[in-house]
Amino acid sequence: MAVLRETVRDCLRSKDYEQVLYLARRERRLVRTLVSLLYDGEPLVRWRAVTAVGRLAAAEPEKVRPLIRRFIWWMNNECGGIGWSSAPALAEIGRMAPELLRGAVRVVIHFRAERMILPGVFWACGRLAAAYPLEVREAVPELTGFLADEDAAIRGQAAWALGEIGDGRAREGLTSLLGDRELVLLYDGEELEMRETGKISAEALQKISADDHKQGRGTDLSTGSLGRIGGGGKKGEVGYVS
Amino acid sequence: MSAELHKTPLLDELEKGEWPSFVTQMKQMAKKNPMARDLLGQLEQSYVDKITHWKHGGLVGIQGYGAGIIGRYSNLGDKFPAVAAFHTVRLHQPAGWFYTTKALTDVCDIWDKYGSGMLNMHGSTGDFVLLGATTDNLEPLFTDYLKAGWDLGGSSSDMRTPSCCNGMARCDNACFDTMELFHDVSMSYQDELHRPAFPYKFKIKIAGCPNDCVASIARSDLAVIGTWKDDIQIDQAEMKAYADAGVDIAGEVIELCPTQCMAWDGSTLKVNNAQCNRCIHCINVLPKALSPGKERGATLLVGGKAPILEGAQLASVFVPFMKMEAPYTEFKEFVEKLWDVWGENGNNRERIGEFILRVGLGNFVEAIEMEPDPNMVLHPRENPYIFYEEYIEEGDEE
Repeated sequence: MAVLRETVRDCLRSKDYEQVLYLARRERRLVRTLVSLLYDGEPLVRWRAVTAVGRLAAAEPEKVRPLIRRFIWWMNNECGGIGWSSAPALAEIGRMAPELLRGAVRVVIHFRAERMILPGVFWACGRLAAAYPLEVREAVPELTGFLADEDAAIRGQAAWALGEIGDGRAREGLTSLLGDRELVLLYDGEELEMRETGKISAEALQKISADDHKQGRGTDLSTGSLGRIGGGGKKGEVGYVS
Repeated sequence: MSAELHKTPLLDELEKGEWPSFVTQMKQMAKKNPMARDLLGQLEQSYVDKITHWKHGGLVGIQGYGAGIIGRYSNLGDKFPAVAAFHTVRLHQPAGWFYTTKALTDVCDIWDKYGSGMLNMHGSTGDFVLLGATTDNLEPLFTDYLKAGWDLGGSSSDMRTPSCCNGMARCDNACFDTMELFHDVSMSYQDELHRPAFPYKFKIKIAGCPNDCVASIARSDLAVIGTWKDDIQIDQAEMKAYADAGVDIAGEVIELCPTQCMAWDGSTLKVNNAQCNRCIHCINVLPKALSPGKERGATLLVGGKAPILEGAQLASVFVPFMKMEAPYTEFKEFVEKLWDVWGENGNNRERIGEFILRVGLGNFVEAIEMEPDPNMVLHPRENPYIFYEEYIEEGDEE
């Protein structure tokens, strides 16, 4: 088992996800190994295991389906466990295989009970923005509130998520963070990088403006409310009543 | 901090009587640690209100680990701020619970520095149970324990900290080196211990002989119980010495033998070893005269657990006899097969014993690629409407 774990770890370091999927077809222990790597002491391996779980969900959904309840349980566990990567892994499952997560996506997006895993939950909100735009936008007011949190990891991940969601209601809160110099470790789906919270906020504001421009919305949506499907944007997208 | 203790008239009652009182111990610690002081206050409040004031669990942990810390928060944090966050830390015990005084001092010094100063020895998985640390102190205390040579134990859906009797260190009946197996299992499966990836908890307990002093058969998913394959060793001269000393061998041993496999004529003991079921009563009563056979190993039993979902279960024999010698390759192959099948197919929060009940022993045995063995049968069949097709077909051909 240790040999398989090291092999997979090396695959993740080199972003060789195809090899991980190949191993998943041959080794029944692969899934369990991947789950255990979600806790790995090496942060990059841990995050890339998250990516690998998503890719596995797309390639072999039946191997991943049983993990969904398990990950949710580890976000609520009362017997001494902590699902550091449970929400991110669920997000990648939902992003790569949206049907798998459909019944549970709101559980992830609205999870607020445990502060230690909130940064992962917010990362999940950002990653789910494209696959579940309606559901994710429900969380914008709460996410905006966390921009004033005392924990930089929570502020930074919330700012990043709001940029991914591209919702103008976050503009004021993000603007207030522009001078924030605290560093946050951020995973972009491929690499880990230490980023200043202020810079994350600036990029989020740019994304929101770009989204507004793309969808033909006005620039001042700070008081806008979630509107009807298609209002002002392309058919099928979320729009706002301005 | 205010040195004044909370008034605890109800808890004070627990200091009366002959026995040592945990209240007295907590009061001693409360003089120097505010967490102990507020814990006393909250406990008194619980006695008044007749309800616990701990909220539901809570997720806390160490980066790189998914287990080992059990989150605990008070719902009276405003009134008892020192126990608003009061997390439990499990510290992996050494094999057989042998410590040097320096090791114990290190544990206590670090705990005095970061925690409440209070601890239990030991939890049911055998760990040190360090009671009460704040969230901010978890990473620094973990770093200090690592530096001092300690590590966290198991919790959550992982392989829990194994436990073993102290076997060959103190007991003539030990049929293998329980402490070596414990150490090997713990070191070999560090990832399984610290990084939960199973449907639920998995406990391995190791007993050196059928006395099963760690009660593995009743409270572990995999019980490893020492046994022997050949004949009980008999020293007839010592048997005679016991009789001469007044031991009632017929009454205390022969008549109590559950399989009636022994005979005593007043000077010689005979044993029908084929009938012996290794209850080990005779060896316990006559330790100078009787001892386990020379071909020693262990029986592996699977599926025991305390009651949570499906009620208590005793473990069932899966491997009647296995040699237990380093590097324990055969043992590890067996363990990993159990994990493969249960890990892949077990429901969330389903212990392996419950999983076996759900899928059926026959299907499970087939899935782990074992040959069925009469020793695996819990009791004679009670349903007459089961037909063995293969058997019937063979009969028809005749």
